[in-house]
Order: sequence, then C-alpha cells, then structure tokens
Amino acid sequence: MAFETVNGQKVFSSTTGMTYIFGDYFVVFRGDNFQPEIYEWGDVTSVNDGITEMVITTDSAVYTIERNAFRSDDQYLSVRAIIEGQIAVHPTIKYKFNKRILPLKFLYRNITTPNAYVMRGVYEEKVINSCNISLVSAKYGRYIFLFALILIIVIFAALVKIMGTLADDWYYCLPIALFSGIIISVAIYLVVGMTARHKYNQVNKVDPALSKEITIVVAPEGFAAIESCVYTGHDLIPWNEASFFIETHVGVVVFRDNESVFWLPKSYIPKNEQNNLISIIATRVKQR
Amino acid sequence: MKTSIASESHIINNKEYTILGVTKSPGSFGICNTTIQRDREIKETFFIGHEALINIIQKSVNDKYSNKILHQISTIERCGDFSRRVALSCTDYFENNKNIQAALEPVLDYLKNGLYVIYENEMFPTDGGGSFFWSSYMMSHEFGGSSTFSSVCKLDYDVPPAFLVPTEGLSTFNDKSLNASIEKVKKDEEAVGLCFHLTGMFCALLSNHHDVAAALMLNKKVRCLVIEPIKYILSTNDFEHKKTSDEAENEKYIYTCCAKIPLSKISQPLLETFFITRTCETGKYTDSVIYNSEKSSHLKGKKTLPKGIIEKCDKLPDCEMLQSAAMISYLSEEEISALLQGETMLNDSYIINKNYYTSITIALSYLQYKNFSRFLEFAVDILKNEELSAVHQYVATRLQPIMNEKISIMFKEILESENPVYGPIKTLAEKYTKRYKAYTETPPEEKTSRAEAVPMKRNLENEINALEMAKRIQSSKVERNLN
Repeated sequence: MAFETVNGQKVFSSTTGMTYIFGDYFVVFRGDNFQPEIYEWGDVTSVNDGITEMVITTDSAVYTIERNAFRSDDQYLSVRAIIEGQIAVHPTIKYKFNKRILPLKFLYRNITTPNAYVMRGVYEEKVINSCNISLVSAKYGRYIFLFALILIIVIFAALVKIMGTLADDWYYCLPIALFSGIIISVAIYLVVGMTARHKYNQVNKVDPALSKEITIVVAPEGFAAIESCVYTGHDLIPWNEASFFIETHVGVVVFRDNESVFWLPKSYIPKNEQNNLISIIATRVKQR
Repeated sequence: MKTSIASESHIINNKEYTILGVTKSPGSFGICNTTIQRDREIKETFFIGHEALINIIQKSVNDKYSNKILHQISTIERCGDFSRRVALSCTDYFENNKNIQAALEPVLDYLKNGLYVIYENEMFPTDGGGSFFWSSYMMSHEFGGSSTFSSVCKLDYDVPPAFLVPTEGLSTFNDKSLNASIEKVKKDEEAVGLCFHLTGMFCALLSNHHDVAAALMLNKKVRCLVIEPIKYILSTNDFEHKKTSDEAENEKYIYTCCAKIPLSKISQPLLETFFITRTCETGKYTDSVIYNSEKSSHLKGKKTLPKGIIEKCDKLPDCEMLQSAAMISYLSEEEISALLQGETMLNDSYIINKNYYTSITIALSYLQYKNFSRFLEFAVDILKNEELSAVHQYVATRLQPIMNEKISIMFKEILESENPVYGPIKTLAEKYTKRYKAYTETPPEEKTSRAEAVPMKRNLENEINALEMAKRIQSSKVERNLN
C-alpha cells in the first residue's frame, strides 16, 4: 500500500469536540466516556474532500471535519495522502476531490528504489503557466498555425474581392492579410496564457500543495511528484501508468489518458543530468 | 526532544501486563519494514540504530498463518553501548526490583514510537525445533511457530512466545563466561533476560546469552521480560469459538501473544498512540537499515558448543507441543479412548478438532509435552489399532527420534507381523530397530560421536508428508465407500 509510511495524524475539531485519527485505521473519539469508533478503511464508503470541509461516510455514520480543524496545511496534506493511499487498496471508496496539479496519490505504489533522481522545488506560477502554454503549443501548435494560415488566405481573398482585381491590389492586400493573421495568432496566444493563469489560480485556491515544496522523483521503476511533507522515499507511480510524454523548452510533462499527471520543470534538473534523466523517461514512455 | 512514555498495568488471567505508549522517540530500536519487492516477500528487520540484526521474511505475502524465515545477520556488539544499557535494565528490574518503566528506561528511550506490552514469560533456549538457539539462525531458513498468528490455535487461543533468537554473535561464546554464568545461575536458581518479540513464538534475546546457556546445562528455567510491539486489533467476530459470557458483542481487543486485552480497559491517550502509529512507520534509521539488511551477514566463525547443550535441547518442548498445550488445557482418559476409537466427538462436542488427523497430531504433541509416558502409550495404542492405519505412517515417523524400549518392542512386533496393514511402515520400523540397537549397545560417552547411536531430530517435513498421505488414504476410503 502506498503512503503507509506517512505518519498517522490526529485531528481535533473544536466545533464538535471530536478527535479523528487517520492512520492504518480511521478512528473517532467522541470524548473520554465513549469507546472509540474504529473503522477499517474498507468500512469507509465515501470521502468528499471539499473546499471548506472533508466529509467521511461509513456504513454507520457520517463525519464532517471542517478544514480549519487541521492544524496546518502539512497535516491536511498528510491526511489526504493517507486517504488516497487507502483508496488504492479499497477502490470501492467513492472519492470526490478538488482540482490538482500533482498526481493523485492512489496512482502510487509502494516501491523503494536506491537508483532515483530526487529533486526539490516549488511549482512556481510562471513555471506552471509556461509549461501550460508550451503544452497547448505542443498539443495544438500545428492547428493554430494552420488556422492562422487559413485566416490569412481568407482575409486576403476577402480583401481582393472587396477592393478590386488581384493583379492591381495584391501588394496592399497581402501585408494587411499577413498582419491580421499575426494579430489573431497573438490574440490566441494571449487567450491561452490567460486560460493557463486562470487554471493555475483556480487550483491554487483549493490545493495548498501548490504553495509547498514539491519532491520530484524519477527512477527506472517509476516517477513521483509529492509534497515534501509527505515524501518518505517509498512511493512511486509505475511507468506503466503513464501513456506518453511531451518535452517542451521549459520542462517535461507526462500524460495519463490524455491528462497531464507529472510536471518536471527543466530548471529543477541539474544541467549535467538532463540527458540521463530524460533518457530514463524516454526509454519507458513514448514521446509525442 | 526527549522520548515520551506513558504506561499502565493490567492484570489479565493472573498475569501482569504493562502497556506502554512511546511517542517522540528517535526510533533507534525495534522492527521496521525493509521490503524491497512486495510482490515476492514481506521483509521486516529487527534493528538497533543503523545495524540490521535479524531479518524476518514472509514468503506467502498475504498469509498471516504461514511460517517465516529468520536470519541473524549482525550482532549487538556492533551497536555501541546498547548491550550495556540492556544489562543495566536487567539488573535494575530483576535484582534491584525497580518497576518496569523505571528499570527499562535506558532501553525504552530508544524504542520506536508505538504501543507495547511488557510481561514476564518462561522461555526455552531453542529454535522451536530442538536446536540450540545461539547457533540456529546463522543460516536463513523457515522456523515452525514463526507465523504471525498460530496456525494450530488460530486466534482463539493465546500462544505465548517461547523461543529465543540471539543478538550476540556465537563468536563471543567462551568457556570462561559460561563457567561464571553457571555459578550465577546455580546461585539464582534461574537465568533471566530481556527480550524483544519478533514474530509468533520467537523473541530476540538482548542480554545474558551465557546465562541462558548455563540454565540449559543446569536444567534451570529461563525467565525473560518480553517487550512486544502491539500491531493488531481483533474483534469477537475474528474468533472461531462461540462467544463466552465475558466477550461482549462487537468488543474489540488488542492482540498480544499472551493475552487479548479489551480496548475498554486501555486509556484514551494510549489508544491514540496505537492508532496514530502506523505499522510501516519509518524513521531516520530506516533507509540505512534497509541497505544493511540486504548486505551479507557479519557473523563469523564456528564454535564448538559443550556436549550437554546440544543433547539437552532435544528434550525441550518444540513449537508444536507448546501450541497444542496452549490449545488443550486438559485431555481426559475418556477423550483419549474416544480418539483411539477413531472418534472426534464426545458428548456432542469436538474433543479437539473436527478433523481427525489434526486431533491426533495435537493430542500427540500435547501428551508429549505434558505426560510423556501417556504419550508413548497413546502412540503405541494407535499403532496397535489396525483400523487407524491411515495415521500409522504419521505416528511411526513421529516416533523415530525417540529412543525408547516400548517403541522398540512395538516396532519389532510390526516387523514380525504379517498383517498387510503394517506394510507401509515396515521400512520405518526396521530403521528404528537398527538405530535403537546401536543406541543401546553404545556406551554413553561414545554416543555423541556415533551418528547412528544419537537420537535423530524430528523431521517435520517427513511428518507432514505422512499426514498428507493419511489424509489421502482416508479420502480414497471415503470414495470407495461412496461407490
């Protein structure tokens, strides 16, 4: 089971006066005079990790833990890692969660490897945004180029039709058409950039992981991008969970079912190791 | 940051158990998970600091009833002043009569975070199969009685730990220390020590190895203080037996080898310590312990042990005997007679088990431990009974290591008998008769040098094969009857 080495967490809710323990079991203490309610994770039916509260439902009870009951972001992230580690073992648990940049923890397996590249850093906004833009460029660049070309031709044809004959007016129409095409391409680029920033801000609002130090691991057995506070060196996503990867000028992005799961900014990689590291990825996942 | 320890004591079945919650510890002593490839095996390692001392390997990954491989790979001498701390704790507890928490403080401060139970227990200085403990774990192999839960007793009966795994290297064994220990044990009438529970019936002995060897030579008891990490919670639904009046519906217990302690008896802070500590929690030493547990053993050299030690180990109970004794509190003559008639039930309840062969195995082990002469009579009676031919091979195999006149006479009768029922065990009878003759004709001082005159050890593999054969014979008989 992944994340079984993450320390158990005790969360006290001052609103309800209840203490919750997240570990190998999910335990609820209602107070000194009550016996603890002990649940194996298989007994949990659903977890709803919302923006303001976390709702855990078992066969016999529903527990609502408000987000401010967690004493820190690190504690919340540890609890989330424990829950998602358990969901990998008990896939019957229904799980609702907010948007993320980091890969979901239930993709991880318990793998300990001595041959791993371990890098640390914060996923800065500009890195994520430029990765996002590069991603869009890499994915849709050729279509944008084609669109701009078609647009130039259409504008040129329209101008010629409006203004007169091709032989007389082409030296007016062509620069105007080219200029319009460039303007539209720039506008598309700006919209992509704004969308990327909006996307980042949306995730940043709901996921405290984005402001935390991230540990990135690339190993022959798998890869990981985990908040450093829950990284213990024993959990990786096996490469067979990845579908393909894209290399842009700012980083490497690994995809799973057309969704990005792993971001590796090139600035994190020591320069002399860049080729080795990317070749590890390239030998295990196909490049697009 | 100083280790925080909370403790409370409970008396269960007239025995005192001290439950200990350890938090904020540097985690430099205990058992950690060192599994590399989870699909192949689960490996745990008993460690002190960076030193990996004993590997505990489970090959059947999801089976808590399968035996494990135990392998000593390093020694406590390599762990700085830890052995001095253990010796100090032992003296404080056994000689200065300090309470457990005060006496063990030099050791407990280093324990991994978690919940522990500490109790006294009588231990046997063997590997559970008749070999001396100090020299048994240098080669990696599987040990009977090492499964997490007893395969004989399941979760219904408590099987206390009984066998020792050394932490000192055999190279430290010397006659001078042994003689000093002999004097000490003679004076104290027992040997004492401190143990850490590893798995099933096995504990790592942390101190006084020479004293334990001396106790074996002098036929004295070995009394140990056992530190057992608590890892499991059980509920009444996990038991196969019918609920007793003491067992409330849905009551939960913490599982220890010696007793199941109801959660309702344990205070909330200690329970919180248990639930917050994860089974596979890592610490600052985990990575180096994983690395060291994969390295080759540090144990060097061979030592010749005194004759008395090896011979006396054969006479101590093995894991099957102790498990059977844990399961049966008493076996009446009426019940033994019923078993000899091929019955598994008496007065509408099972005597031991619904399976006849399991019943015979357990009854033999129980009697061998509790009443040896009754064991011999029972075994001979089974062999005499032609209708129990299905278990003859098992009983004959089981009797092979025991040099006794009654058995010899029985085997001679079998050899002379022309009854086809005895055909399959005639080879075993012949082997036994030859070895018994050599045994009786050899003077005692030569017995250790002549292999054929020395009682052989129990061969559990042969016994299991014989039992399998008995089951096959029985099932073919049933099929024939149905046809």
